[in-house]
Amino acid sequence: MKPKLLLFALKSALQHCNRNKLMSTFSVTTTTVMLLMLGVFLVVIGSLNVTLKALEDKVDVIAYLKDAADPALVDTLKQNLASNADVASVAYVSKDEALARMKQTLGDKAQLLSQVQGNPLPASLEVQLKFASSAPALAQSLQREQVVEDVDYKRDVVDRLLAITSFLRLTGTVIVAGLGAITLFIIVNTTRIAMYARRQEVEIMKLVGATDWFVRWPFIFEGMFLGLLGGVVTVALIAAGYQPMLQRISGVLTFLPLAFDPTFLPRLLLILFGAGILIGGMGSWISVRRFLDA
Amino acid sequence: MIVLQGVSKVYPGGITALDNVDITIPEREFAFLVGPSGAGKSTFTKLLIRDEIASAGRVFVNHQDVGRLKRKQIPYFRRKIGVVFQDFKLLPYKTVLENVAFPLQVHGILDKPVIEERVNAVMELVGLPECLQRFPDQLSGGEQQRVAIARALVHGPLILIADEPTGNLDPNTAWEIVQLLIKINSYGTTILMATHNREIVDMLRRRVIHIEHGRIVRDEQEGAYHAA
Repeated sequence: MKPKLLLFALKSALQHCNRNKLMSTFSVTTTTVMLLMLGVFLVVIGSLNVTLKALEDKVDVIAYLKDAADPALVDTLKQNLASNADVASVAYVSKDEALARMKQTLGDKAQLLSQVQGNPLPASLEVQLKFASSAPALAQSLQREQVVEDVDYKRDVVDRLLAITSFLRLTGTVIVAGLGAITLFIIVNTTRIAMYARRQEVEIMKLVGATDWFVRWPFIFEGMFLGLLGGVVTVALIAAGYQPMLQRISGVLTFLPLAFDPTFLPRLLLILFGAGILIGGMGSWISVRRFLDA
Repeated sequence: MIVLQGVSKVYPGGITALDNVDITIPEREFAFLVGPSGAGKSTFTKLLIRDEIASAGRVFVNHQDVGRLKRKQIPYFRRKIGVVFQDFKLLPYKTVLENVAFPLQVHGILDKPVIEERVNAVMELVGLPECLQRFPDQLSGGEQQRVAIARALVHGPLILIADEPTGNLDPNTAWEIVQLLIKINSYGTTILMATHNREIVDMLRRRVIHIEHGRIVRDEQEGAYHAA
């Protein structure tokens, strides 16, 4: 297909959209409704993801050190941990610091500590993880270290958190995939109905000697263009409603700290644009194919 | 030039539309194809444009064996033929200019000045030079058929096949359309016109090919609608 012919096909497509406004409006509306459903759900999933990530970030592993531990060995361990791919950060908490923290935590009751001889609290390494799921393995390996007395990572909490987040992620993915499939199905069928009214056009084009591609391209471009318009409308609606909607949702679901991800909106807009063009073009292609083969 | 050699067409379900038809229509001829509804006239024209394939025998159009065309060759084959239908078959969302220009664009002729020159010439020929910017539904039946004929002619085909071109038109308009076809024939285009219109056939006294039950029952030069 030469560029000139593609340009001609593009012009024909735009011209037809313009001259057949009713059908075009109908297509754009359907696409918008479907993409909007998908988009809103993606927004919720996206925010939930940010939240889950934030929750998981709070998971850390604490290695309590033996009082007699060789400071050089402790330092080596700390450096090893820092270079571990699963570890976000490592902090050394000395015995004094631990005591100071304890005093702060106890507040009014800090004088209780005066009943204790010396400083009973151990020094520790506090390890922040990149992924909560690596906590059990890291805890195990720390346990084997010479300088480590004991390891604590709130096993129950982490296990439960991981179970919940992976369940939510899986459910979200399944729902998004399902919605995507339904969207594609409905848009393809809408296009098919629109195309059915135009099967005679295809027939006429073929009778005057148009090749299959000459017939096909204007229809594909038309589908892509209408899909793009649907995407634009959807994106405009979501961009306008994103912030207020999230606020409303987090107002209702107060227990979930739904977070704003500044990179999420542009990504979503790209996805919806792409989905609109792709689904529109594919819908036309699938539909026109049936009349070409007939 | 159109040649059919022992051509039969049997549709799925066993209905025989054409039965062992032999015929030759030389270049520059004007021939009528007559016969009652269901005699096989439409099947005949469909075989010529490869809208159907013969069950037996061979069909040659412009020296090409139509039955042996590959799917990819069909568009290029059709560009050498002009076809006119009873129901005009104009594209509703294209203007007259765009409808007539379409076969040229299909040929890859996309230059506006070239297109306009060719379209203007052929619209002059069919007698509608002033309707270029209108849409088909803004035209009368006769005007739509003239546009359809212009579209069939714009790319200079050797053969024009007209399937009941006057079927939807009043007698006066029908007559005008036929006179237009005669004019086109006089410029050298072979014309095959399937028709029910007795007055026109009787008046013109051209070759008449009469089909009944899928067989050619009469083939007369300067014939009438019914056998003498």
